[in-house]
Amino acid sequence: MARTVYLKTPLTEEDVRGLQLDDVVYLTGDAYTMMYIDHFTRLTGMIKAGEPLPMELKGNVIYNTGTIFRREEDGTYDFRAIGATTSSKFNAYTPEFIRLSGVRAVIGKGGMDRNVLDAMQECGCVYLAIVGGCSAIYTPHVELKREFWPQKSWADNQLQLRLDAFGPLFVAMDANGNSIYEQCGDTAQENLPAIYEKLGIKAT
Amino acid sequence: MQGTISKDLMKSAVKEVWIRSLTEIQPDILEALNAAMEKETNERGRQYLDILIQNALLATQNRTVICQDTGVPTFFIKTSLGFPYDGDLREVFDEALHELTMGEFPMRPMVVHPLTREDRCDNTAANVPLLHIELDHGTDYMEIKAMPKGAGSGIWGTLQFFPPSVGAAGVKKFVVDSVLRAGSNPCPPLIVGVGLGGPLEEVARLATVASARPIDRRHPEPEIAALEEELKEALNMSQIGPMGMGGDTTVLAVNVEYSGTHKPWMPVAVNINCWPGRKATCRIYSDGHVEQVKGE
Repeated sequence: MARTVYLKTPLTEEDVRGLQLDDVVYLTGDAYTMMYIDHFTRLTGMIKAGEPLPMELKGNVIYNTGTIFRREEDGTYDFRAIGATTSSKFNAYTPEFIRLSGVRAVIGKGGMDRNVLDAMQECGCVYLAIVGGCSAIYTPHVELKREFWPQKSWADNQLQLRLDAFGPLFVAMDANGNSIYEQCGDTAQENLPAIYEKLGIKAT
Repeated sequence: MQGTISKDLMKSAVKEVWIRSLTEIQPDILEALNAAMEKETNERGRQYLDILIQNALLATQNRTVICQDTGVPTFFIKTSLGFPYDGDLREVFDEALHELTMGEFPMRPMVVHPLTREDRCDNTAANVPLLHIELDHGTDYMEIKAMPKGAGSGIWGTLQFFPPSVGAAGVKKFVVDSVLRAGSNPCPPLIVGVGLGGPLEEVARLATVASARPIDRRHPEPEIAALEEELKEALNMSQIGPMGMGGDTTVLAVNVEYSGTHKPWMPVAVNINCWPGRKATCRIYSDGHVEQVKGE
């Protein structure tokens, strides 16, 4: 039976190891946006070079996301929308990032691959699935705190967010080597011969 | 004919239909989500469908975006040659998107130059907003259909030329393989648009038009309608489910459109649309009144 869990960042290893698939999580605390591959390569490069980071990643949370906001003249933000982006774009960059940064959760949609799942199990990190295409529901629980490394387009900036009982998030890849995406992908492949048969397709 | 429709009227109609396409769930999609909720047997699938429906209603009610990815601005326009607007349509759409993005209705700047990745930061670029214009003889209006194309679903589109010997089975296999390859990534349950026939540009256009046809409307030809139903049932056997987390609802609909093709060809294109199936239509009549059409 799925449980509902309220968590605050920074998360401990115990917090995330105790989470099981289908647990519903509401998260409060800091999160950092990871919208583009550049966001991974910049931070990974800085950590490897021993440079200080302007944010505390250890125990914190990253969010594969996109946002819509305006910075007002007085420096405050008119924060309009936030929602998940497809995490699989970052499959190749996430395992190393988890190992180097010590983040405890990745929020995203669509799931990630076995290499990410392995890094999560090794380090104590979970994948929290957000429901995709649902900006209206999730945005009221997010505040924009800070922008990093300003780019030509504000939409490319990395952001520090403050989450307030942000959810529902669903544990879809746990810290113990289990993934709903892997299970459902396997099921779909098992169902493929029956689909082909129904449609009169000869499997090749 | 003297132009009687003003540029301001055109621009405000374009802005409104674009905002509606981002914020308003269309009745055909909502009805399909509710029907899926009735039938879904997977508890997880029901949980996610319920959130999709809540979000769609909340966004429509509050006129906020359904999804933060406001997509590539794409418009399908139908009009007759006699329509009384003689201004520059390109200018109308460029200005509408620029003004919305920069002020009135903030959107993420999404479109860039494909090679240099140069970003004007206002959702315009070479030929974008995309304007597909079709003559519709005998109508008294210009119909504008806005279709924001998001990255997460758009990237899974496929197109291939087969030899005719693959037959209907080859077409079906290509559609099934395209949807299974996309899996959990494009925010299922999906609206799948399939294009058949034509040369290259036509088959892609057909798949796109198909993906925006109201999903409560089957193709008028019984054979094509049967193909749509058969593909929908088969794809839902995959159990990919809402958000790819399991369940009976992997696709809300499969829409197929076709055009004639060359003898040695069997071209197929698949345009995958995420669950909100975003679209909105308006009609600007020659007397200057604008109808914001629901359900198209």
